[in-house]
Amino acid sequence: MSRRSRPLKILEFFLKNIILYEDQENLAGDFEEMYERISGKNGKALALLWYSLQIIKLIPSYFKNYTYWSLAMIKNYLKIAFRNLTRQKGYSLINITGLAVGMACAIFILLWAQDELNYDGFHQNKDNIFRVATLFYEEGGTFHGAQTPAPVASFLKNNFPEIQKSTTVNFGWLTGNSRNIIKLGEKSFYTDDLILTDPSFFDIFSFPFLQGDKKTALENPNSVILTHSTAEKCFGSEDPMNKTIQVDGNPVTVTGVIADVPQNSHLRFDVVLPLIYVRNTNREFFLTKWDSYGFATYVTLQDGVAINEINQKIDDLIRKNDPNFGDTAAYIFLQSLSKIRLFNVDGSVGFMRYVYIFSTIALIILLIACVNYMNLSTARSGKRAKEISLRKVVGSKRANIIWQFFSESMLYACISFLISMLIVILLLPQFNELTGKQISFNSANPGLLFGLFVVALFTGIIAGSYPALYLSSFIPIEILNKSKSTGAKKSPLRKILVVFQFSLSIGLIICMTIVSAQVGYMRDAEIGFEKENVITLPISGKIENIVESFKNELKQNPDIVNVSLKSTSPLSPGGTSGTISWEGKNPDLKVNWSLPMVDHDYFKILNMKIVDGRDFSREIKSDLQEGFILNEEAVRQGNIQNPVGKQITVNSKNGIIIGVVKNAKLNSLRFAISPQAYHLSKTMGEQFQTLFIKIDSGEDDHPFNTITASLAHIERVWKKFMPDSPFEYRFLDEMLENQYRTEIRISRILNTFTFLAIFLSCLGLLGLTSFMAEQRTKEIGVRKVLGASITGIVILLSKEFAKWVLLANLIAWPLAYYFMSQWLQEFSYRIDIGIGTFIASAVIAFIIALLTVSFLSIKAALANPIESLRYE
Amino acid sequence: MKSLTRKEELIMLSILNLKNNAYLVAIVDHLSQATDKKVSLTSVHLPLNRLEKNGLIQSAFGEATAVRGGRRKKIYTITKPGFEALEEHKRISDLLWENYVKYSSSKD
Repeated sequence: MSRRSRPLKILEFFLKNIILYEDQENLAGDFEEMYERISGKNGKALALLWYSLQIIKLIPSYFKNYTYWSLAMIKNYLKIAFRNLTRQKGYSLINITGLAVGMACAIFILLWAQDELNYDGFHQNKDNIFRVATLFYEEGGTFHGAQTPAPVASFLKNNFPEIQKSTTVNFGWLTGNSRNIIKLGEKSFYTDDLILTDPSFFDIFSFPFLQGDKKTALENPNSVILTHSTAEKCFGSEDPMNKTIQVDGNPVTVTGVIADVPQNSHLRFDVVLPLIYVRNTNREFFLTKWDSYGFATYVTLQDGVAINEINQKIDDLIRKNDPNFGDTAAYIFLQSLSKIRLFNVDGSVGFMRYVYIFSTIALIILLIACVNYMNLSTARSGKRAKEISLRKVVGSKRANIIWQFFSESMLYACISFLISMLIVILLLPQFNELTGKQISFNSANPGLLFGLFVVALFTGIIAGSYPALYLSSFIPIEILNKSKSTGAKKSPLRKILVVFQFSLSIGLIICMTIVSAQVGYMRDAEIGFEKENVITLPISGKIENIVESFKNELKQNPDIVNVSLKSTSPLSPGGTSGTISWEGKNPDLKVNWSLPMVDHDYFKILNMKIVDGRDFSREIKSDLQEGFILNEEAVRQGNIQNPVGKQITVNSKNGIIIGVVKNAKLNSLRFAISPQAYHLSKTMGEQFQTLFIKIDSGEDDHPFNTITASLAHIERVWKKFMPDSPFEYRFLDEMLENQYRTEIRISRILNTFTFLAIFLSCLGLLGLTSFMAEQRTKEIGVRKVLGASITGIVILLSKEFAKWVLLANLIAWPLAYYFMSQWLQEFSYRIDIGIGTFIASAVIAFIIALLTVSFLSIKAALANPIESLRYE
Repeated sequence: MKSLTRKEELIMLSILNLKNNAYLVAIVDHLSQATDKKVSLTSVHLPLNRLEKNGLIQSAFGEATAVRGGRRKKIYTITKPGFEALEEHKRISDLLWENYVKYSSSKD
């Protein structure tokens, strides 16, 4: 017999796999017979061709059949899943609640993170906008700044062809006032958000004009651009164009109205003046001054210019141009717009840290919810073991079972997803309040929709993975052989999952405690001055002549303890110095001190302690010109031995150090204290900007009444002396509190999510305990009949969980310690992480777990054994 | 009852002719010989499935042969409804064919 020719093995394999199972054997045989015949008659090549053609022809029907049967099976899987869901309502409720809450958290944080990542994202050429940042070298390291001298912008544009456009922005101090008064007829109000800039500002940034022309709006020195809501505040529904308003008493004409600045812009303003607004004033010289770092500079680059390349060319620009380049050594470089919000100027992770932290927390919460699902599904597997075995016996492959359990977890994920969307939509206003954002649910955003899809899919897959693999591994003969179900046999992974879950919860409790402690510390820390009952009012420098009579008239009210003045806004340390030297100064030392001008009462009003030397005195006339009081930080940084009595020269003004004052931490404790030299007279054209008034409410039974009465008195005096300025006061302690807005907010968000994580963990523990108790009903019954006490049984049931929770601590402690010490690095003044926090967190977690478990174990222990043993 | 198509008629008759060896390739061979035309597997396989679904024919696995790589054949046989359908088909055909006269050119 001649050798039979057979089709290629690989083709045969293909054929076999795409024919419907029931037709597999005979059809493959038929094809092979035909193949052989053709190969005998027409040659092997033609036979192969024919055979391949048959395969190709079969492909469409293969797909049709495959889809049909898959859908049929999925329909069956979902039907069974749905029956299980409704049969065990308690477990299903725990599962769905857990997953829905977890997903809602994840979606909230997704929305939040997206909002943060899109900061400044509304500018049309957002990828090509850069801020010019500065790098200072000084004693004690480097220091980064986000502001440059004013001439940098035009110098860059004129001397570097790589720079396409440039603009300078001043955030208001150039007007000489820390807050600016907008006045129209009888109406007047303060604005904190006034900027001065040049016309190219609106070429670089996309702030759309509602009225007026962006090219000409800032050409005239007396022009002003208002945002829509400011224009409305001034003019109501009238047309504001070409009308005149007063800014700090100077008439300016409205030449443009722009839309309100979006909430996610790092530039915030409501009034825009041209830089040339200050021409012919004593502050005009700042526009050409090379050593005053008080202007933000933004540039756009020509196409194809690499940022590193241009950075190298411009870095020593200030050094070359500053004729007085002395104590400070500044370099400049470009920082891209997209990094301004989330990264520090030096490129290190700034606010981005919180995006990372909260994304991680969202993931943790979602994982905890998934772990609950895994635990409950596998714990309940005893009830499913027979079903799985039977499916296997009638021909299911392992892959089919895996598919079954994935479609089941997907069903749960879908139901939970719908509920979580409901939660998100309902709670969005509360979430916005918590985070201080204005996030709206924009379903048209493709990135967001993709994110939501990923959240749902991720949950379904992670939650379903372990049950699918575990349950599909059952061996039918073992399960069907036994009369009793064994599915709930001890699974080590389940314990590991509970430990994992509690590690995460304990970790979060520790983080929450430390963050709250740090925030509390910053709010209550020893700040070196008294902040209570002090109100601050912005004043303009023009009052110098009337200041004494003004103060005296204020003090006529016996409740007004003291009045003082300062040359900076209330919490600012003040502008930094030009050149400073003193007796015995190391000539290589570079210093950068703040030079606030104050009056005689400043230290008294804030009750700042003079630690060495003496306070300014009205009796000693020379203090007015020569007296300098340093703070402790200036003495430390300058390494000045016995400072009192030493000669000091500040901006070529000679004086004597008469005292040293305790550090006053006016700034957020996030930042280190700055060295300061207080003085009474001008060293570089300062003006008084802030009025401090201390009100006594000490022994009064009704401090509120005293303060109200005093405020009425202050307002009367204010109106008399300063009829043009609105009376808008602020309490100093409130302003200090406001500096910690971000930290307080972060702490609150963390508290909320920690609470949710613990809630979810307990939910899972509750489900697991109730299952265990159910499994051991008979055992408990027998034990009770034989004389076990209720306490003994409660301990028996709780013992195991207690062990797991204790174990979880071992994992949580080092992780939490690591992350929290990283976070605390950000703060110049920070708390120590004590072991107490860890132990307290462990105890809290332990008690919560114990309460959860004992709730059910006591119920199980109290059950009458007759009930549980009756059916034997 | 739905009447048989020409193709179905031919396939069922082939099954009858092939007796106990009526499997797909054999039917295709038989039809190609009878009609002296090339018959494709597909054009037979589909009507076969249809007939089986309608209950006119039934199938059973036959013995394996070496020619087929050790695979078994699916042997088709006519069922009782199948015979009834064929008979009905034949009755109508005979009735209509009764007065048929062979074509001859001399008739013109």
